[in-house]
Amino acid sequence: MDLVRNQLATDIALDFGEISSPPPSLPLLHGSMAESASLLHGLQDEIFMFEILVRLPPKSLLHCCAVCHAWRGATSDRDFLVAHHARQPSLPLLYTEIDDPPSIDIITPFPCDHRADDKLQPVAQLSGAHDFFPVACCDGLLVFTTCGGERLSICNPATRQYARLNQLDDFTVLGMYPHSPTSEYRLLLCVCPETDAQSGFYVFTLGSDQQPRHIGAHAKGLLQHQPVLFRGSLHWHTERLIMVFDTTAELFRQMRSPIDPGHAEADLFEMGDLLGMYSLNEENTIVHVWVMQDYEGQVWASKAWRVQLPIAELRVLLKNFRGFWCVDVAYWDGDVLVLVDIDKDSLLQFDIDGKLVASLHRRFLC
Amino acid sequence: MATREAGKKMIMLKSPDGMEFEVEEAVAMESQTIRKMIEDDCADTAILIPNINSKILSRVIEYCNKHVPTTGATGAAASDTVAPAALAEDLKIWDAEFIKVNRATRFNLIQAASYLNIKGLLDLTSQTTIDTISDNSLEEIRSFLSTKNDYLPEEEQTIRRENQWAFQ
Repeated sequence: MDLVRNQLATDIALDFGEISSPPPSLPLLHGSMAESASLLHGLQDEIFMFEILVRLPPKSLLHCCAVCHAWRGATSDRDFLVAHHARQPSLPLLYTEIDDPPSIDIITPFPCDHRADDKLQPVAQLSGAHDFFPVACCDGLLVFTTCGGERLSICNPATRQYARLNQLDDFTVLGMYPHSPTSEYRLLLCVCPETDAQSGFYVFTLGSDQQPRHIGAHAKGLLQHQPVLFRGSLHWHTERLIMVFDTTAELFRQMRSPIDPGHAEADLFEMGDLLGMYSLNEENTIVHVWVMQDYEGQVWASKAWRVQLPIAELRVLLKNFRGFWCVDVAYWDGDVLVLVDIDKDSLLQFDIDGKLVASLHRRFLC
Repeated sequence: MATREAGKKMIMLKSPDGMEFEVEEAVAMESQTIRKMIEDDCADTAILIPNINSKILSRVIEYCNKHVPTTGATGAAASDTVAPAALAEDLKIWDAEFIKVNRATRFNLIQAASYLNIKGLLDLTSQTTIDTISDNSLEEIRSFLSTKNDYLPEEEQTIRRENQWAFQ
């Protein structure tokens, strides 16, 4: 299990240029069907698509593909997909990797359809690539590696487009961000190891045929976590401090961290309009959650939340508990969520009081 | 009655089959399309509503009459104030009755709500079809919505396989 905290769904359109190629599929429309048949007798096609189909949840939309050729054509139309995507809520991207078929599930932390159900719900699935591993996401675009991390690609799940990023195969992706002065989406990259003459940070504009642009020397410790895009900057928690990359000026700076250096594992997360941070004790049983009350003044809330994980109870509850778990913290729908991956085969969701609120049992590979 | 309506601006809506409906401007402005016409001064005293016959238009007006906000209504008659929750419950019951129509009428109402841009009416009229698609199996969707399956069995299998997770 891993968690990429950037948001999954907002309306985006990115020009992939010539390298764009859709995944293999059946022909969209069957012969003369497109001209002759209306999608639903008695209702104009445009109204059926943009007033009815557009309101369906993603899973039901996939059902529609299998109803008949005309419905498949309607639900694969690019304008329709963008319109449908624009109505979807912005979700934190939580993913699980499964090996048969090779795919990842995108899961909502809370049941998104408000049904009384304590299961985490998959809302989307990406499949088809072996060894698929997401490395960055921003505004619904997903950059991922395949073939053991050697190949880099980008996809837009909403419009079902993807493209290989051939020219970036020797780089490591640190983060993706919208560059506001140009409205471009850019990748922050680095070349490792540090001994390499070319090592350092690079910036690459998605959709361009230019080589990545070198912007400076290397700094340690950024690779361990996914950055948090907050107030136009990417943020990483390193061992001693918070590294900040201003996405407009494309320069690094530092911020102070509220925890003692070298004491506990810590990471950042976005909390609505605030920056959140959590740290773990050495036993991974107590989660401290901090909130940055004043971003400019770098003032962290003095009173942090403290969540005690009920590990002893979990040992009783989960028969095959082997004693390995990892913790992540996310923010969704006004609530701070503590997510615990147990033995890489169960994902449990706790609230801020340490109460188990949802679970997903699945074998995790990553 | 006449005195209550005095001072309220009335507007004439005409259907293409020649019927005329006199409605309060506030009621007509439940439609964002009509609101924009009035605000842009494109509407004189009468507005022709194309593509919506008198039968459907009268039902749309019935809906707007019921749903127009009553916050502006003052006077002695409004003294028996109704709690907002009770009012919402009353509207819900009214809506449920309103939508008990055959499919052709419902589709016509969807098209009218879309054209006139009346969000509440669009939500109400489209929900039945959305539920039919969301809550049923493929075979049931085809049967309820009279849609013919023109896939070869192997084609349908391929599509199901492509999106296997959605069919589990």
